[in-house]
Amino acid sequence: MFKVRQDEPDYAFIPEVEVPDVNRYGKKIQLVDQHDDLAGKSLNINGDPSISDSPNRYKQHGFYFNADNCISCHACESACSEKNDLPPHLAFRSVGYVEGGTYPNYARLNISMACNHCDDPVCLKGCPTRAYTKFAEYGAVLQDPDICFGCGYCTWVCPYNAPQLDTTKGHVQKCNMCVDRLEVGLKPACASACLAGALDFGVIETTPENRDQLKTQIPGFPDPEISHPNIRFQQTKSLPREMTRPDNIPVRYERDEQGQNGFNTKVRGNGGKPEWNLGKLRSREDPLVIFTLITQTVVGAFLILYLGPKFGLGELTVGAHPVLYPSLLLALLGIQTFALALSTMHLGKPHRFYRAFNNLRYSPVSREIAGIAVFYNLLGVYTLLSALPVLFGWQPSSLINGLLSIVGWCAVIAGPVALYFMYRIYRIKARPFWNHWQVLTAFYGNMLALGGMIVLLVYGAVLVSQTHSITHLGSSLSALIATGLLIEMIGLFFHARDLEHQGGEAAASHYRQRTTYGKTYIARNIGLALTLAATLLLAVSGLDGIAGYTGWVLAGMLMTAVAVVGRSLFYVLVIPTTMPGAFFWHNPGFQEHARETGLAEMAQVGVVTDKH
Amino acid sequence: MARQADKILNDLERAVFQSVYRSRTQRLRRITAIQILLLKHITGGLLFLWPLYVILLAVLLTPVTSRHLIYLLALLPGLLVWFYIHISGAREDYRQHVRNHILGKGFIKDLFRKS
Amino acid sequence: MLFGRDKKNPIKIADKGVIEWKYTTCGYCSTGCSIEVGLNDKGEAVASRGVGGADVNRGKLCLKGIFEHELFRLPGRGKTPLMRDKHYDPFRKTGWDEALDKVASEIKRIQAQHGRDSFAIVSTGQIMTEEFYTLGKLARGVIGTNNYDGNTTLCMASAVSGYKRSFGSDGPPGCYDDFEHTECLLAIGSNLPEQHPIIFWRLRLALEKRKFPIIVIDPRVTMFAQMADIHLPITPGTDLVLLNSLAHVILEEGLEDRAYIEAHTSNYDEFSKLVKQYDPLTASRICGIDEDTIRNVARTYAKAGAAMTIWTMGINQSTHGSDGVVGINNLNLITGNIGKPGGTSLSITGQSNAMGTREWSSCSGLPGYRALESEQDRSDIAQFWGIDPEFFPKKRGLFQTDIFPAIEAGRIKGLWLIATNPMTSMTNTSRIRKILEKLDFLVVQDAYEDVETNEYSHVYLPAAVWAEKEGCFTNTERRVNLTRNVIKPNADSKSDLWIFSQMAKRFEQGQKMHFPETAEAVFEELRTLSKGRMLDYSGMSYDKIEQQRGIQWPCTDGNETGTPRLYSDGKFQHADGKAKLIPLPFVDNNERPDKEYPFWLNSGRVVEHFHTRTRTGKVGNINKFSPTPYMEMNPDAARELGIEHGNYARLTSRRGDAVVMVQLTQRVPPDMVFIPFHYHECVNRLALGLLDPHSRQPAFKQCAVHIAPATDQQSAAIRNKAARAY
Repeated sequence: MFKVRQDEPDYAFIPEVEVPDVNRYGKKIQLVDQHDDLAGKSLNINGDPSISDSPNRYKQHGFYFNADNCISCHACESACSEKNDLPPHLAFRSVGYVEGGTYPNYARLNISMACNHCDDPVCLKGCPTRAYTKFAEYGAVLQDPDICFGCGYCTWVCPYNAPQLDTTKGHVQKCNMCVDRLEVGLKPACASACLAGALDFGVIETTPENRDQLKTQIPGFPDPEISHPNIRFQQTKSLPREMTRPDNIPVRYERDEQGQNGFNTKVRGNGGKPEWNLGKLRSREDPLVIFTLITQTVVGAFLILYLGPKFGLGELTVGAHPVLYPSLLLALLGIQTFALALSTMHLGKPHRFYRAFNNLRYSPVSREIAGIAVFYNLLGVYTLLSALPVLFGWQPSSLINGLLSIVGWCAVIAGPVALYFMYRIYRIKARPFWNHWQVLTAFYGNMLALGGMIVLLVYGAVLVSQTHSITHLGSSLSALIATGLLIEMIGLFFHARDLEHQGGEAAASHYRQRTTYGKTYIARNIGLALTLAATLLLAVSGLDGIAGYTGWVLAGMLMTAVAVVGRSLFYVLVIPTTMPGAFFWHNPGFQEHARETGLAEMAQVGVVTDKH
Repeated sequence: MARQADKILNDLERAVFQSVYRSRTQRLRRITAIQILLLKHITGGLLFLWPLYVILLAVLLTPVTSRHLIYLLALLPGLLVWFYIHISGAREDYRQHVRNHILGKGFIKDLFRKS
Repeated sequence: MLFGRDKKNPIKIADKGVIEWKYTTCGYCSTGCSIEVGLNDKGEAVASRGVGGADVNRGKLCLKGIFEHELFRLPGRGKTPLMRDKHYDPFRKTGWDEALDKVASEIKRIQAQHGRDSFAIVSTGQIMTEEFYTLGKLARGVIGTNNYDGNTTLCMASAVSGYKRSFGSDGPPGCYDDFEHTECLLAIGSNLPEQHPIIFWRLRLALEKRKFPIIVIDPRVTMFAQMADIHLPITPGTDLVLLNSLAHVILEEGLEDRAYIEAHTSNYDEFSKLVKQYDPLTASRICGIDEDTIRNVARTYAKAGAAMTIWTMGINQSTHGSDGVVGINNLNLITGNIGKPGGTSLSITGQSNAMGTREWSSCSGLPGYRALESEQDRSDIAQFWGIDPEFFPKKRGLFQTDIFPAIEAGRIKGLWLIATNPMTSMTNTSRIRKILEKLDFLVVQDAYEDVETNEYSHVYLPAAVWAEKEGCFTNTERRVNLTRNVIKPNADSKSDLWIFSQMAKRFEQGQKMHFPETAEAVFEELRTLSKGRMLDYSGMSYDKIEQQRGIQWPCTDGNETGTPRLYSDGKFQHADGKAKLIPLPFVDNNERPDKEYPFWLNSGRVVEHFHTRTRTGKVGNINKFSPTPYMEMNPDAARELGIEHGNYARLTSRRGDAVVMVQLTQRVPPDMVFIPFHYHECVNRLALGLLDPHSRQPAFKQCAVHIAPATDQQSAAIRNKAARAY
């Protein structure tokens, strides 16, 4: 048990107060009954088997933050980092701020934020390894780094930036509510350290001493509907009409004159000029760019290979090209293996990859990986059966053919299903730029276009070398390719339009899309249109032979470049609805600057050097 | 799974622990544990990864020409990556459950269940 | 429904394995927080926590204190003494004997060649009281140089001087408990939440029990200004005008405490004659605060049953810093707000032991608030130390800020710096570089060998830091508090006490005197010397101090608890027993913005850093909040110049230039920029630092600069990084 010292001041103890039955979302504050199976168990903190008899042990606890009082003295953050022995680049609790007004009528609103131990913890649901648990004790949402494999998906879905991905260690860590202190009746280290009467802690929906308000929103705080966070605010002082952030996120908060103190998130800045910034397209998610594109290509190519002959594409039968067909299958299997290796190595702890299936019930990541694993295995079986007849020659061919068709049809279904789950991963409320059906059209569009193109180019090469015509294949596949390109374009059109309408971080992402990456964005769009035009032109013109093939190769190269740039943009443009940072700490702009200039090489700057 | 070295505070206990830990039985059990962990992780990996070996097989089954050598070379990094992943998995389990632990009788079952 | 795993691993929460807590007093600022340092079973310091039962901090710590245990293992600590012949040669490692012999022989050589005062000593506010006293004994009684001062000239000299002029002696009369009793708090040039977060917390505790008006005077909208009831955004360098005008209104409207003035003050007539000239209208034209507000503040302050003023560098670091302090004292004297609960003039001090050096280091005189100018004091101390009273000079010598110009002029040839870093902390640092270059002999005694000033030293002496030794600090409210020895000094570093007494042994006169070995034995000398004086320590002992978590002097023999307030009886230290009301004519001698240099340059502290960052710049969990210098600039002004948020700008002044990252904020007015002073090669390259005529404290906060966007952002970034060794 945590040792309570003899001279522990009163303010450090959680007060005994009357607790309502349910919280504002209608959820019971008493999480389990005293007699429940989950009650009366030890938290087993560092192997300590003792059980606390704290009277409110099974009630949901939460933080209280009084924004009127916070002075941004960093005591809460520091007490937390000291207690949890964290390196400078990590923080379970962070203080950011927004500011506004005109000198001397200036106001700064500081916000101290850690994990809100939500009623509906999106991190827990998103985690593929089930590293998260919402405990009946205090309602604490705890994460176990020994289970985590470092995919960082929880850091994507959490709207409060609570889970911290430690890229040096390859796992996530987060606020543990100081449950060791709670077990002996003490408030968490941060709340006990507060120097301004700003941060407090207790059973949720109870009003702490010297407080009047229990609001769920203040400017800069994401929509509480995403996860029903257990934090309550006080903010009574009048604020300027417009508040801005000190970090480089192009977002500002504007008071809603009709509403009561409500603030709307708007884009900051309008003077930005379009730039290229091609170098900045590289990010930690580079492996995912390649992984998603390859997977979509392979699924598309297999669909065409398997279904093509059934729709009159005789060129694609095994019979027509007994060597090429299995070779292409093997090649698809090869690049899919490469992609899987890449995505596995992208994990903080690749050797724990098999934990990806732990949370099929809730996590879209688990489902995606399972889906792709199923498709990959079916593709493997199909390839084995069709590419290595040597092994199965002694079996009756009807059995082989029957098996082939079962496995083939299964793979045809598994592939697109896997891609659907892949799309579900990105439907994250805390990441409005991704949270759009455009992701689905992009993924399926790429499946058709890239898949069609690869089959066309591989078969085209052989046909041309054998001086056969490629026009039939070309015109048939071009329909698929064009469809793919077209649905991607439609998706992108509506995406851009909806981003602007939506405002907030969505519009901010789009603002960056039009400014920081403006030229890249336009070039990608033109590239997409050009690919479509080239595809249609090549199909209609009936250009054949070397000339025709060269045309397709050029179109394929353009298409690949456009796809890579497009997917990279997809990852770098997202602006999460997280809390504002400060001028240095949690300012992505400064972090980038520190890495570029080498300031980050000093560990005490608190920025990790390596992006990967 | 038995006692752990870093939970011992006094010197006498530590000395007793060391002598047991260094005994022949314990050393044999640790060697067995390494083999089991490797086997476990490689077979586990195979479940996910067998298509990679299909490609390998396909290359090996066709007559060897220079072009196939190139295929083989191309496969090599993939194989190495996966091999590295399996080894790290086994190593992590070893660190967590074997090193600085006195292994009891049922350690083989424990290894499969716990890690 | 609860989610998650059925079979859970044990919850892992960091356990630092603390087996013992040791009692200390924080070594950063002068709030004087009690800290317990946790040691693990290997004897390493792994944790810090505020002492729950300590009256000052009541279990809390600011972020610097929270990570104070990391001090012991920071990089850049000195391991062995270093020596070299020229400052451009590489250092070679050496032993203590050789290093101390060298220093002693150089001091003797320089003094023999150029006179006793040609070797100067500049100390600090960071070492323990016992060490200060021993250094004073060495400097005044053995080496005998009159050019001996502390770096407190950069922070508290104006407060000292102001207290002496008004009350006849140094010594802040109030205490933190005054927050609990005051009915109006006036804060001038003090950003309490950022500079002294724990004192701010004490204020917050008082405010949560009972609301009273907070008036903040600051040209910048600091965190304190934001939470104030009334904020006066004053024009830099004009506080004196405002203070005179407040007094004007009070006297004009008859709000003064006539009885107190008559009973306890002198010189009222001349004072009232002068403040008559500062009517609110005239004042408003100079200080930028409208006349109605001046009247409102004056009435609020004077009508409060008890009102107190706190101030920090906004007053002290000014060309009329001493006058500013006297002005505050005048205000409190005419309203009868001295020595009563909730009524006081409380200077909020900077360094952990700035008070200790004021009391005991003999920098400005002789130990125990004794003066060189007094024959009685000279003979008392000479007798106690066993030396000839004629060995003492009869007038104090140069202040720190005059020692550097004296080196420049060639009158001083050798310098001993103790725990101070003028290469970053002094104004016009390019000039300081040139001055240090000129020295025949420079000794740097510091806990960190990477302290920037070490670039010019001939001998470097590695000192132990904070709780690697034992001794006392005195805090802002005159509380003497104890630091127990927690761990042994790093590598071959030694306590400053040991270094001073070993140095004494190398002088003939020092061999005849007694230099106690332990801090506690030195403390006994302090008790004896303070008996019956204003700063009476005689009722204190180490154990008693630890038991009570600090004791406020005076604590006479037999007194159990110390004394929270001075002058409660209305008796002051001037010969007539009265406080003096001093007329303060305002002369504006600041470098004001003009066409060429159109911006005010203001500097100040940020909560995460301490002074020149030799410590906080290396603690990652603190430094990360501002790892590199920045400039607050008004966005409207920046737009006109084409300066963008997060980019670098180049500043030039009549002294030099600096490159700094820009943070656009409406915290500062359009004609002013603010840069934290902590960073090497930054704001102090630009600052002018005109000296206060009384305290010789530089005006860090008022000068004029020109600003332009850095034309090459990349080379600006390179230049900025090159100046950051930590």
